[in-house]
Amino acid sequence: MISVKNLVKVYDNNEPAVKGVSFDINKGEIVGLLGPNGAGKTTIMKMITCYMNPTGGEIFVDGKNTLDDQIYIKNLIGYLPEHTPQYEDMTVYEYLYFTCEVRSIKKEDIVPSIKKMVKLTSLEKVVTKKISQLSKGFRKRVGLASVLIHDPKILILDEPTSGLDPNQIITFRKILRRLSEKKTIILSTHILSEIEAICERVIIIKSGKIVANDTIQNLIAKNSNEQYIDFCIEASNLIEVENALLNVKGAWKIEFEKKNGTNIFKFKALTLKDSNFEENLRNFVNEKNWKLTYLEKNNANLEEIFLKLAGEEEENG
Amino acid sequence: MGRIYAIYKKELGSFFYSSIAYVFLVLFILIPNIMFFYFFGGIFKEDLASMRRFFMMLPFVFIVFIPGLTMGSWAKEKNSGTIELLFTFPVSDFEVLIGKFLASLTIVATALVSTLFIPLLTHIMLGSFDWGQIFSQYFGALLLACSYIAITFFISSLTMELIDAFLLSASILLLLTVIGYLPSVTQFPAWLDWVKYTFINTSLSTHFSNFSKGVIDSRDVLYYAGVTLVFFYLNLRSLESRKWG
Repeated sequence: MISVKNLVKVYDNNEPAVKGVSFDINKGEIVGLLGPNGAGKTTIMKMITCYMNPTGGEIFVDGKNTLDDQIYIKNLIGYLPEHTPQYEDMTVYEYLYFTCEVRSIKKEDIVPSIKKMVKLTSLEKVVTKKISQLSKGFRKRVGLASVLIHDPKILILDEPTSGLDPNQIITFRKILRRLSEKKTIILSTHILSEIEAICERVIIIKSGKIVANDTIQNLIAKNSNEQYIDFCIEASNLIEVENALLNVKGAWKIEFEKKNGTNIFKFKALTLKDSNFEENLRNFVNEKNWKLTYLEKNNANLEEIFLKLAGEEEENG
Repeated sequence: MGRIYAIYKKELGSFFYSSIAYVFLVLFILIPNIMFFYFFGGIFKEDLASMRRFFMMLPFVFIVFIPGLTMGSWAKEKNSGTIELLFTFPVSDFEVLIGKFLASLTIVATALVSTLFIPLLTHIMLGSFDWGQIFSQYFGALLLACSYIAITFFISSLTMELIDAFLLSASILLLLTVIGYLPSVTQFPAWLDWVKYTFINTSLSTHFSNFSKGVIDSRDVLYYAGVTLVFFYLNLRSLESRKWG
């Protein structure tokens, strides 16, 4: 359904935001696009929706090139941008009516389509209200109703639950699950549990490149030779402990997590299962006359795989 | 066509939601009336049933009114992020431009029509107007408005802030209007004749003077059509730049 080949995007001669990305998404698949801020997720989505053109490479949607058949492709897609921009001076009804008209929905089908979407997204109470008067949650629902109103084959949702409260997130996920039976969906989010709950496959992007593209089960299985060790050290000075831990061999990464009590510091280390990090750590702590108050080993989950693959990224758009 | 009409309706609606249309129409009805009846002694002193004085002032009136109307055409869409929404709908840049342009032109045309009651009332109460001249003046005013709207749309497409769009548009329109008057107030040496004629021929106001006298010259019609089309083209290029930015 969507085929992305060697996609490159350069903004104003700066460092490329997308660097040779390739992936395919099959009909009816639900794919999560994961990555830190500035990784290039939104840029990729903007290019698939024909809002922007690629600097290099090609995108095919339903077999058509995004540079050649933009109106055809735009008709197939329902795109919900991250900040859900809407015409705030319109009422919900007027906005949905406008969306129908601009999407060339037949006049006799407009009102039934609006009714259907209002019911699906539970907008009955606010349908006559101006969008400017609505809460963020309702605005998201209006956004979702407007992208679904032409029954698109492809849904592209950029951070659809950002800024919503937990109740609104649950409602939103329910709607997405219902939709996922019939549509090809690309979902970009920072919330990993959302990906785990909804998506079949995940594409992890870092600095404009794909660092993983697999099903969640496969990703966990592939990374199962890794483990996370949570441990707490009782010592007088955090900086001293942090600096000293750099000398403990057997871990790829050791991060300070939080302070537990007055002089107890919690850390998380990423190690291989067969590494001797635990032993090294115990010896090191004894040498320093500190106290190891807690230690627990965990297998990698999606969050940890994401942290390992995508890591930290500078926020540069 | 249906998509252009949808954009047109949305734009027209937004003018009324934001009160711009009301302010525009009320001021446009008041100002010409004051100018017609009171400026320089008004119609009574001149003792001539003509709206020429009003139409001579129109290029200057439009300098404030049209940027006020069109400053948000693209700047507001960019500022609020709705431009992303608009251009992911199955519409071409050209269709959006035409829909927006026609909506602005409708407001200006309505404002112009609302001034028609001056000649009608004067015709009934005071004396007969030259209706041929009136037609030429209103036709010219519409062409002038098309050019002004096209120019200010282009400028709005370059900015994100309404106030920037307004000030920049008004400044450029003022410049393009007053350069036509420079040759009549400044002595140009013979070797700078080409500058003089460039000013006269490129000014938005000089081409309007024939219309305000009641003369429809095909060169003036072509000039305004040309300016409108050139700025349409520039506007489309400016919109397209987002795709490659």
